[in-house]
Amino acid sequence: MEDSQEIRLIDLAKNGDRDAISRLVTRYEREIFYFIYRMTRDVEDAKDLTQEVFIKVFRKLGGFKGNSSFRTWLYRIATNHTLNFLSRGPQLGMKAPLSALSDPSPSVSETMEKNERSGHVARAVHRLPRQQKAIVILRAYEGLTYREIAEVLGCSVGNCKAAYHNAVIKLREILKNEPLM
Amino acid sequence: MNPSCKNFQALIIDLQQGDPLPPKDREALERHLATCPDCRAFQQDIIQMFKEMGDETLPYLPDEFFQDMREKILHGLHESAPRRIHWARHFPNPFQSGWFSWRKIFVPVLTGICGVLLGFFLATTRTPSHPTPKSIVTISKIQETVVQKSPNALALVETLEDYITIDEFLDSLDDRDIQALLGELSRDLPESLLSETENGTG
Ligand SMILES: [Zn+2]
Repeated sequence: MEDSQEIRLIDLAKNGDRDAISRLVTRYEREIFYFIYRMTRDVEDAKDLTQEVFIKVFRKLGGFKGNSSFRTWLYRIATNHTLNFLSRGPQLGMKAPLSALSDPSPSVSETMEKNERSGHVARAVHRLPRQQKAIVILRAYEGLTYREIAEVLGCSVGNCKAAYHNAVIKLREILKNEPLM
Repeated sequence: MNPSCKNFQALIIDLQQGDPLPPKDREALERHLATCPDCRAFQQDIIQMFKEMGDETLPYLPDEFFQDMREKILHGLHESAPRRIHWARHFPNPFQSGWFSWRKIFVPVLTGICGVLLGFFLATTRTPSHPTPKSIVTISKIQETVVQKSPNALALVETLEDYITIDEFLDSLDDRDIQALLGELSRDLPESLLSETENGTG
């Protein structure tokens, strides 16, 4: 649940207080941006979507009753908005083979190998069906609990757990079928 | 791989994710791992996979990037805020203007005209101007019926929550949105619910 300062900021933001809105955005912008980035793997798309999500959040803030935490509610809107975006058609990002490097880094070879390996997993995540991708990113990368994911996706905790296990098993299959060279 | 492997693989995933397992499950898993090479291989792969996920470095973005984003959000909110009409600018306060001297005539006459117009309007309008039952979509019904069945519907329902009626909802969309949503609707909403909405029984 929120701290009292956050509850106060939310109340002020409901009345259109610009400073409160700005402070709430500052508090969550990076977390939400990087979550959307992981979903889209495109910085510009993630930036546009993050802006749209926050605009939507504050436009709908009057309907936020505090039954879930503000953070979970943010993730709910961000997830639905991004899934909606992804459903509009194939995105261009992450189309390289899994064995390709994600971003060339001018660091030492050990770091490069680490990046290569994590980029390999990230590309495999990107190949999951979008709903499975969302659940893997929410749980494995963002660290949301099953209970929070259930609130975000509007499913039961049991269904979320089963969906996550299936997604991870599928992810392992993808990695097995296209191993890192 | 025997049929119980799938259950043990779920336990392996939760364990490697950092979720504590009940002692009974943990003992059963250890016994199973001792005899099942498939699940041992699975566990190694999962350990490696989570490690690689944790090692991922995200693109570095400077503070200016987020500052620009924040400004666009605030600007976007300002743009989308409902425009307030400042009546005072259009109609001076009658108690501070020449209107004041007319008050004994102007106020009763205006009230009378408004009353007549309202009566005429109510007498001639058989259907309410706001959403008729025909166009009302019961959001909770859609949620109950659809959300469990289709991931795409989640996004759709989220969008619908902003709108009272399907008409208002459709009015708010551009052509590209309509194409995308019609696709989603025909895929996600059960036939019965679609026809119910169109026939006005919903
Ligand atoms: Zn096994």
